[in-house]
Amino acid sequence: MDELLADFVAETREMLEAVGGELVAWEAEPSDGARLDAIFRFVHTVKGNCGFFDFPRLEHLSHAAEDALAECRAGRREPDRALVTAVLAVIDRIGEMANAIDAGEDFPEGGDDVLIAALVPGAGDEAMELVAADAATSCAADDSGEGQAAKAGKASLQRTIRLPVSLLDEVMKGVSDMVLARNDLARRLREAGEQPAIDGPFERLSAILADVRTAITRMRMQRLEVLFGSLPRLVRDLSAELGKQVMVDFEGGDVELDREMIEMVRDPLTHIIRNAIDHGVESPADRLKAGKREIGLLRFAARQSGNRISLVITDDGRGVNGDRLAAKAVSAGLYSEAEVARMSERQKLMLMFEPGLSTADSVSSVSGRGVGMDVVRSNIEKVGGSIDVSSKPGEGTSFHLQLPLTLSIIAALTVEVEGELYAIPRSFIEEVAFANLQGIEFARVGERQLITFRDRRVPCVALADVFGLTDPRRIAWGSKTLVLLRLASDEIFALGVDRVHDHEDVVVKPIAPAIMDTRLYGGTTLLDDGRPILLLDIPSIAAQSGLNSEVKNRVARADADAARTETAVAVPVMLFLGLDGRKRAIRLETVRRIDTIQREAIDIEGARAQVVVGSDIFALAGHEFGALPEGRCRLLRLSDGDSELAYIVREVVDASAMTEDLVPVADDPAIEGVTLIEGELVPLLDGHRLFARSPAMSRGGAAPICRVPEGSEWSRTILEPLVRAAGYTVTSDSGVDADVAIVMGDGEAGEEIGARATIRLSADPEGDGDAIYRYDREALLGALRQATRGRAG
Amino acid sequence: MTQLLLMCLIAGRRAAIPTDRVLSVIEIDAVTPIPATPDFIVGLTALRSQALTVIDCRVSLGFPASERVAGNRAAVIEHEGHRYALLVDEAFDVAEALTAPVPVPGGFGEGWRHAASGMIETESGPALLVDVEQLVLGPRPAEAA
Repeated sequence: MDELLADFVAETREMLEAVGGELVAWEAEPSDGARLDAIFRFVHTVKGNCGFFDFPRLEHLSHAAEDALAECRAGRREPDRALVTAVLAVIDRIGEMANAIDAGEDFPEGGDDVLIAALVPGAGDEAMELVAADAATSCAADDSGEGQAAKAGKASLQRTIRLPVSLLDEVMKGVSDMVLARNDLARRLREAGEQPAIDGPFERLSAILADVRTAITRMRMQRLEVLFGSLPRLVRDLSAELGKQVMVDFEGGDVELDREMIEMVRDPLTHIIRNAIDHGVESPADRLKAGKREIGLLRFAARQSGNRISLVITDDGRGVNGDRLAAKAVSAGLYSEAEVARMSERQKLMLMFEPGLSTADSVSSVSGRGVGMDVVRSNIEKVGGSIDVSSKPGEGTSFHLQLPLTLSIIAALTVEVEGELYAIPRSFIEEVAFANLQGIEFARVGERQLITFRDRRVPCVALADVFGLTDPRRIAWGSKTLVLLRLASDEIFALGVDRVHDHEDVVVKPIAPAIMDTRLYGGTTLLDDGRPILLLDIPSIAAQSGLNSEVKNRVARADADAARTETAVAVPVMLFLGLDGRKRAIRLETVRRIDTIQREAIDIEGARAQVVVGSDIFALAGHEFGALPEGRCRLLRLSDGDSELAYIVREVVDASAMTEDLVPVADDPAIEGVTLIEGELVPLLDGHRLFARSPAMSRGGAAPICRVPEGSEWSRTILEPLVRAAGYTVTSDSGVDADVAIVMGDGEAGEEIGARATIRLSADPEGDGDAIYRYDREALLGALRQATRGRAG
Repeated sequence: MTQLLLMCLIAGRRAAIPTDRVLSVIEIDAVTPIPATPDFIVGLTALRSQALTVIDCRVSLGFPASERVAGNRAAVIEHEGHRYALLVDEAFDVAEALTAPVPVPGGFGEGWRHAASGMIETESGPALLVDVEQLVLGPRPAEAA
């Protein structure tokens, strides 16, 4: 509420300022109609706002002034000097009260009646004088030093300003430009190699820029209160119209949302409220009969989770009857009896979002005109959100809305088709699969390409075909990567792309109407390097490919759902063939992704085996089982949460589930045990041992920092690489808070120069007290490990 | 009345775009093609943090497409809140209009008819004053609208 109040005070002040000039002009020429109108609008607005906030005194004053001015506007009263003075006094009082509200003070009681009395036509001179005297005292108080100080104090409390949103957008755009310029610079710096003198400040610049960006994003945020504030009135009007009694309850009004997003959900929300009051909440008599309170309850609860907002709207009405919805769907010809018979309760409820279905038996003035929940759903989806419904007959209905925090930034997956990149909103993506894996079967039914994946038949389109780039009959499906997309209606289809690139948070900008007309794209975004790419409009692509109405697909899924519950206790594993051609399994949770690399990216020398993926180096495992394949190699990227390593395989077979018991094997420490998967004996790799054995690259968590001696050739060329290889970030900047410092001979101890631990090196092979000989590799690495362990503890 | 014009070459003819419509003139660097769009839309190009829709003026006027895109100049304009880069053969100087646009006896010829609002005299000779809105709408504006 505070925010609304601040808005009210700011608005009143702003209007006072604007109206000030009008007042003076009106005083000089009381018959000037234009001035009169401006002043009338002011008191009218103040009156309206006061009613909303429960400021009875302000309301009385403005109401009285409004009445007097209305008389003048209607020509029933001639404005005279007495009236002008009286109105001026009222307006001054409004200003003073607004200041008091802002400062959180109580305005001194009394005095209002005199002002109001002075507005009455023919008010005696007595009243006039009183007004004048009152004005004089307040002036006197203002003029005194104390008054001035008090005013100044009030002014400093005012810490909010009103800005046009366009200005914020401008700043946001500027910051986006800066981010692009930074990315460009970052790329050039990378190409130029390491330059500590530049890299440090550049890192700082990047961090500052990230902060600024966050701050700007927050500037565009508004509390949900703003939206909630307008709902009680709507609910009141609707329930009065429908002869029902409904209370509203809000939770999470302090959750912040992009102000544009708030505007976008206003309409869908209004619609849901209408439906809830019209169809959900019963009439008072029915409620009493059902043993409920006479007054219905409509609850709004908002919560932020990550970069999404969940908004739940719950009524305690009669609930939605899924069977009735299903019957409607059948009579409307949308589904057959057999189809609805196989639907789950939730699927039946979701029918309410189908176009052309309305639960209302009779059409009321409020809702039930057939335009309904399907529009709500498509509007919510348009802003990247989703909607779900749950209901208990007799107890009520809940609508669950999931909204992205901002309209403009969405999580996306970039994919490649015919050498160009496109972005797919991540909210649609169910899974990514390689077409050449075992377990994916292709079938052509008529002109429709189907795949069988995880025991489901899923329709499939190639993005190149959607774009009209290739002949659908000549698509080499075997080399495609399939992105399985789940539409809001729970339908699944697969989009064939050439490659999947990366996850990115992208800033989406609108695109020109001529591009919009293709109905394939939802917007454009710039990659880090400044290249524009297009964001795909998945629901529209599905609709154009005729994929969103295939009932079979939906029912097939229902069966799969049932199958899934049966095997819910199974442990998901990934099956693969090792380089020796033997089938093995690894727990699916540890598999972060699957990469395909060229043979040249692998470097094995003695006991050290590493692989380059993208620009990162990973420790390699699994190569001991056989010769490396020529050309393309498949890698499983494994992660234990903190570090990652790459496990080379001959072939990725499939994800599967381990349902049988795991039998431990005593003589092979590399495996956790063996188990039966689909009748075959499969060894399960021991993830723990894999990570314990490999000098895994630390990912995610920040690498510990080691300070090396400054200005020494030896430390730069010999020591640094060794320390780096041990997983440290190396610095020679004494301003950095290091985890460990390496010092030569009798240099200052690390603790004295801001490091948590010290490793002392000596040039003397015989050792020098507790110092380590500088070429004693084992001892040095041991000390470094010791230091990290200290940090963890 | 002095109107400033950006003089350029479109489909080998001298054309003029009112400078008050032109935000800047850029050299097209890389273009991201957009599948399934009409031919007059070449693709997207980036100007700082903004993506511009690149329009091939030749195609908009009913001529065969420009052979070369990268390296060509384009005039950046804004139309209904969206920014476009109008690809031209060449962009010259800014010149002052010496006359108001007048029709040419016998017409400008097919293609130009939609997009040209008249002939205009400049110090460097006559040029066709083009209507950027029509270029953005593409060829045969009656259908595109």
